[in-house]
Amino acid sequence: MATIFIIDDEETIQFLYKEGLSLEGHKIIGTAHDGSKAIEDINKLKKYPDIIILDHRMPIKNGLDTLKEMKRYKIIAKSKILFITADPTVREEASKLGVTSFIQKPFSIIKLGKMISEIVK
Amino acid sequence: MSDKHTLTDFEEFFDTTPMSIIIVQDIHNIVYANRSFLTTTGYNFKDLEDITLIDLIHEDDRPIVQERMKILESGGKPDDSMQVRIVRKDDSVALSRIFAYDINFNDKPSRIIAGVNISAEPLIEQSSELVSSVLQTLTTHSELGFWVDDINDHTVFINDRMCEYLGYTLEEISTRSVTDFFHPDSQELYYQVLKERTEGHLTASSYELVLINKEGRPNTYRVIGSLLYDRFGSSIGSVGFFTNIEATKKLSLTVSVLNKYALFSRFKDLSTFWKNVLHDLSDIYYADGGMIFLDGEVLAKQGDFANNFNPQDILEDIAKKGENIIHCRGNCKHISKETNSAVISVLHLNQLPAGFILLSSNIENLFYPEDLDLILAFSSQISLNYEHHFLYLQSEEEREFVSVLLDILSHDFLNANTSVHGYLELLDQYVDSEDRERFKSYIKRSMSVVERSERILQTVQQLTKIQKERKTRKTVIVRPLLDNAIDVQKSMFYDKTVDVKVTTIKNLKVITGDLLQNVFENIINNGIKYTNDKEVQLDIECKVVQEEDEERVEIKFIDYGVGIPDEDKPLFFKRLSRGDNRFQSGSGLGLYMARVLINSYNGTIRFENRIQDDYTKGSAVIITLPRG
Repeated sequence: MATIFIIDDEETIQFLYKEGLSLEGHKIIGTAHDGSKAIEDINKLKKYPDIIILDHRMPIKNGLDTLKEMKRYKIIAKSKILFITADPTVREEASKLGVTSFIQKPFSIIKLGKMISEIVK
Repeated sequence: MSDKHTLTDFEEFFDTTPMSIIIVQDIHNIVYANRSFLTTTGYNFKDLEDITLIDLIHEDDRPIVQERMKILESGGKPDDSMQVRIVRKDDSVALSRIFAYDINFNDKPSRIIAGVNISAEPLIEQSSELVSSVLQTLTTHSELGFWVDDINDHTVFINDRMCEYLGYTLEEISTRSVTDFFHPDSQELYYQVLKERTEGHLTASSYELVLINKEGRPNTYRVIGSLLYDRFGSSIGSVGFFTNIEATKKLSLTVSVLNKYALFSRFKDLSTFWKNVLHDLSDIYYADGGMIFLDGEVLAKQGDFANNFNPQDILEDIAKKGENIIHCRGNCKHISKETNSAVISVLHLNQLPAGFILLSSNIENLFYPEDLDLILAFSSQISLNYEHHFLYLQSEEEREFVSVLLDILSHDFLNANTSVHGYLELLDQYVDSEDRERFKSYIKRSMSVVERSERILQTVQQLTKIQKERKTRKTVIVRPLLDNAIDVQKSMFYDKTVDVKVTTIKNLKVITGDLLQNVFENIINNGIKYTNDKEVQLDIECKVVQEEDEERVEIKFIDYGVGIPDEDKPLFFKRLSRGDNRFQSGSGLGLYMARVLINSYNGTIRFENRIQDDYTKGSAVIITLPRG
């Protein structure tokens, strides 16, 4: 079981993560619509989440910009980031910032749950 | 020369050369002079026994010569060549270029000095008849114009070619000052050159002069000229060789203007662009009037035109005749009463006549046949550049449009598909469960995503409509569009009381397209939505503003809502993800599309705070459009 923080601007997708990932026994400990709010909330948590699911395509602050800020706050070193993008250039830049796990939409929520179980095993 | 020489080695050469030659020993003493020297200076051998080398030099030039002598005395080696004034026996002066070399003459170290008279004085001092005859012979068959004037700017000599250039007879030219034939700009230049020469800065120089021929046509000449001196070294006039460079000058200037205006995008607006083009072309071809007419619009104009001059009629007439260029000489009163010559060169768009460049002048026969070819070539090229510019802009717009569509498809649809796919997976997991509420909620969410997909499709359709209609233009009165937009938006907010105050001058018109009301609706919708109070106040102010030399209409939508932080203001007009509700619109058109539309109507749209420096007191959206 993993603790997960979700950063995605779409409420419907957030809800899907909550429902789908709980099937595999994972616990959603927080959600945010944009990167700034996410960092603020994560820094308030008693314990960093095992996994942060971060969507790249978001208004105001996109996934890459959020990653840069996360690196500054050393969040990347403490949580595993699952970065959602299909853009190879963005992936390359995200890799440089320390991201090792990528997924792209559309994905199977069931498979994603299993994948997270493997990551935190 | 070898080391040891006797006079007989060179006697034949010395006797026949036009150069003046002397041989000097012990630096000062003249031991030999050739025939040319004696003829030119008037001295005889006896005289030379009583004078030294320095006595032959004009007193003003003696310090330079004495300096050279000092160098020789100290065993040094001065320059081989110098320019110096030689004083003849009769005290007259001849400007000479002299060359000096060390030789061994009659078994003694010596210096041979050869001089060439470089003043024109010997010719001028002869009878004018003889001078004319010599010069006529020298220059009759020349392609160069040759013109000599005196210190009072009266013609002393002019060859046939120069008369031909000017179109006047010798008698006509002789009775007038030479500067009467100069273009006003060239008169100034000419006196400047003369001044520089007289002050000794220049003995000869090359420059450009514009002369006006008998028909009134200006022509540019490359002139190589020099002052003439009398025997006492005073200036008595000037001489010039003239080459007509008008055709090459016009060619090079026309090409450079074409290069200058090759990239339309460099110019802030096309109105300035065409004004500059007309101004530069008029300068090259000495036109005092002109017009550029394209796509039904007069883009640039200078000078007066006849009351009945109708550019559209002119264009249709040219198109009917199938001509590309019209040259009007003499009777051009249909253009204006001052016009005595004109060129009208057609501008083509999509290979069809779409306008023309007109250059006009009160000078009859101003334009040469080669001018017409150049102006026509210029028109063809600038038409092509203009066409390419708009094709480029169009392709950029299309590219942006395709990018937006791809963005919607790759992001919004992808998200929708991910959601529906996910919920179907969850339904599959719970199909046998008793948790009907959970089951229902997944179905409800799936339906909501599908409905959103439908709205996305509507947006795509709306965008496609914008893309199709963004080129259409019409003149509309602003007020009825505003009233309709206000009514539509008020009806959408049944839970709020909306009061909209509109201030405008009567029948204020703008040039726009079909979807301006949708833009108004979108802005009003945002104003109502982001006012948290149940009672909403909106002000709409319309006025005419002057932007450079264009009248525009400014429409300002002021709300008293939550306002927008400065850093977020630019984001509102960008294409963004659907997640942020602020960017959604009840009318189906987001602010991004409002910007696309307003820009395509040659308008601008921007956000400001209602109260400067305090965004929390509400916002103002300001649109400007061309006045109708």
